[in-house]
Amino acid sequence: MYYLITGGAGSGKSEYAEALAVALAGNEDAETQKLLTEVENSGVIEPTVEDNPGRERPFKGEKKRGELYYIATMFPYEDLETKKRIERHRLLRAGKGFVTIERPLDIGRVTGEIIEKAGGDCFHEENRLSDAVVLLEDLTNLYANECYETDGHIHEIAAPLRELSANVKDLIVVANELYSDGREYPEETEKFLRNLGELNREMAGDADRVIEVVAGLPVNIK
Amino acid sequence: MILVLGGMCQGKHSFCKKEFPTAVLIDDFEYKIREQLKQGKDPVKEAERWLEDNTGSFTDITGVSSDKADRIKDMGSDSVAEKPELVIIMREVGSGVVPMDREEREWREAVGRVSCLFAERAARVYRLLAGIPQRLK
Repeated sequence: MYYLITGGAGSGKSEYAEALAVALAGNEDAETQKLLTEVENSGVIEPTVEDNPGRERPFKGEKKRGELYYIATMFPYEDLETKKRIERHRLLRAGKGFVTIERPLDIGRVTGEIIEKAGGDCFHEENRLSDAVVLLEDLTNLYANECYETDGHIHEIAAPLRELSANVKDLIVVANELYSDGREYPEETEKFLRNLGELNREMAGDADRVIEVVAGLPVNIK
Repeated sequence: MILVLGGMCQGKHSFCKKEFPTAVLIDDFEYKIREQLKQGKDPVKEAERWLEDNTGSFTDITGVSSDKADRIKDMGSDSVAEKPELVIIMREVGSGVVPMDREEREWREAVGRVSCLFAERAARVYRLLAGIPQRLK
């Protein structure tokens, strides 16, 4: 399955995406369902009965656990704010079993790197890959790096991710809501936003599920 | 406690007045967060403390503190015997371009984190979009 997770700054989208990745990798169907369907109870005003699906994992032992990969896209700049941000994300992931792959540019190369990390070879790579649960964070950084950190040659993003999603167990891509502050920006920023918005739309079209995270809670978009 | 979220002018107040006419509304938290940041405080910790301080004054939070209940009564609740509902209104401010200004970035991040905390503690969470409420929790 291909998931696109979006949300504003400080919306809790990273925490949500990580919890989803962990649940998917552990084949925790009850937990995954809880994460994905919370919002579908959203009767407008009537209080809904607290549903508690519990923590049963009926498939434990019957299905294989997935391997967790975290694709980090930030260039580790030396400034304090970037360092703090990266550190915060590392702490969030700590102890959850993610294998981190730094890939701030040219995302098409990530498939090969996952196979390599998984210790796969040319005979078994497909099996290795099909167990992988891949979390990529985030699309805005990746696109900004392509725009501002290359010699002007922008690598494709949507197509290789579509292909990756077809070959792994699950792909989760974290995107950002950048489009609702009602301000005007210089032409260069406007162009960046337009292109990123189009990329977002293309990927949302490819994804099986699109979820917006609001104050840590999922809102089902697709 | 009930949390009501939404962007600017999306109908948060009208919704609250209609649905929770007797509730105590708190709707200045974004500004409070700005002040806290200026004073070098951590808004998430401050919000947590604020919730603790209000324990007992409202429904959904256990424990009773009589002087706080009196204070709430003075705030115009028409219910003397029952504790009023606490409704926190928070504006969503995170869905824009990363601000150039560091203070603005910190403020917007903090408003988001505090919203996450309130949503976690809330019995119910609503989000208003074009005047339409959607229940998220």
